Amino acid sequence: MTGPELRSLICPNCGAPITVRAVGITLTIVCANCGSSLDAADPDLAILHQSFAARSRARIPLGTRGQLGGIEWEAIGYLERSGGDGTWDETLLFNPWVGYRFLVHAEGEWRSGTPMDAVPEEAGNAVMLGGDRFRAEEGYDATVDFVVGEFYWRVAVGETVSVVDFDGPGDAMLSREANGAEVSWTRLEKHGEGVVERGFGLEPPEAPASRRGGSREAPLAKTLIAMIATVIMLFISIIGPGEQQVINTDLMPVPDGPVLTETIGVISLQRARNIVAVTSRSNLDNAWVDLDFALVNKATQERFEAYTVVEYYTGTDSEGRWFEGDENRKLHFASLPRGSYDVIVEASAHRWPARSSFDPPPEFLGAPTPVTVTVSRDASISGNLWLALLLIWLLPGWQWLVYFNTEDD
Amino acid sequence: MIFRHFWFIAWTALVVVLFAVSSYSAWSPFAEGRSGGGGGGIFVRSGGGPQHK
Repeated sequence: MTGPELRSLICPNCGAPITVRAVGITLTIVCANCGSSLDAADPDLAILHQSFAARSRARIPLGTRGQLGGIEWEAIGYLERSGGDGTWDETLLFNPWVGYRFLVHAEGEWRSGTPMDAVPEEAGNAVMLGGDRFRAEEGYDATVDFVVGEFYWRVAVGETVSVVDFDGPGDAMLSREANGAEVSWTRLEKHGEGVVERGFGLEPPEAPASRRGGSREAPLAKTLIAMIATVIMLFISIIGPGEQQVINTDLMPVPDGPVLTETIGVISLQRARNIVAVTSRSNLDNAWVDLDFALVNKATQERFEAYTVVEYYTGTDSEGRWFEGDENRKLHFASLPRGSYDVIVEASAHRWPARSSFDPPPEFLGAPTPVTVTVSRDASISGNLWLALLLIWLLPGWQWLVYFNTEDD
Repeated sequence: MIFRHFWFIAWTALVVVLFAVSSYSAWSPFAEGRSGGGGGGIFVRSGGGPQHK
């Protein structure tokens, strides 16, 4: 590389020499010695921010020159970022005749990032660029955790941008970073194993891994959090008096006969809010029984209603014998206030297929279809627990799925 | 870790609190009958013969 204009300065904070490589373009310089952020546009290098955390920990030592794609680059800036459950670092490369490139390093994998002048065309949940479609991934926030060197934009530790990565054909990716109203696009190309290390004379590559900023870590923390929540909810579920059977009776509705209405007992509820379970069991043969339950508060006459059906059908068709229906059903009354309740049932039995007009009159309908009804208080509804577990385990479960699929790749 | 997983922790805590409140108030979206009306469970269908074709 020949002919770049260099400018040598002194850090106003610690006195260390500083060389500005991209004179006239660089906005921010971070002193490699003391970590102070300096305003490169100021002739006196005004200190923008002091940080004493700077160390010589750039993956490619600043000032190192190397070859990539037949072009000689110089590493002038280095920053570490985190977001989307991942961490990565970016080295800013500069060539006075070509411009800037990023070298993004995430979990052992290198990508070159080229700042884009053209904005890709939006196409639903994707963007189009040069006839190629790039599909959007889930967005995340990326925060600068460490910075050293010089940059053509204002950069400081703690700066956060919103990032959306777009997967394109092959290993091509686009990355959109938004910081307030300012949006920048970068095209990322994956490097083969060892290419960057050889080009810059670095140590041999580490174990291969994944993409920039991607969530490719095992979600151990989320799993731990979800497990703690599961234990708490299981504990909440098992405390309490447990289900108590209060009523057990047989109903004898006659198929296609009159509706059977009975008050089958009284249930007393002691807690401020209660769940009552009603189980209906039958032994049917091509018939169904509609069951309307009502709990009527003896003091207030407030009425709570629920409906269920027990049914069983069988027959034969071209594929052989088939069965359908559920002879046993359990329903729940929830949030019942404290009090004493009459339990009223209306049972209506029916045969299938329905009777024709030539069937015998009701007095010759035949044997009733017994249905055993049990009523219990202090019941629990397992659906609440399963729904809560689903809501909590959905994200870690999905991340484990991604993790194992990535490992398999 | 807490800052990094803030939203997941907040979401999980919200779910646990809602579960605890629903347990205390004996409320469930899966109940066929409940206080305040709205009976008729989402899994219950009327009889009337088989669905088999």
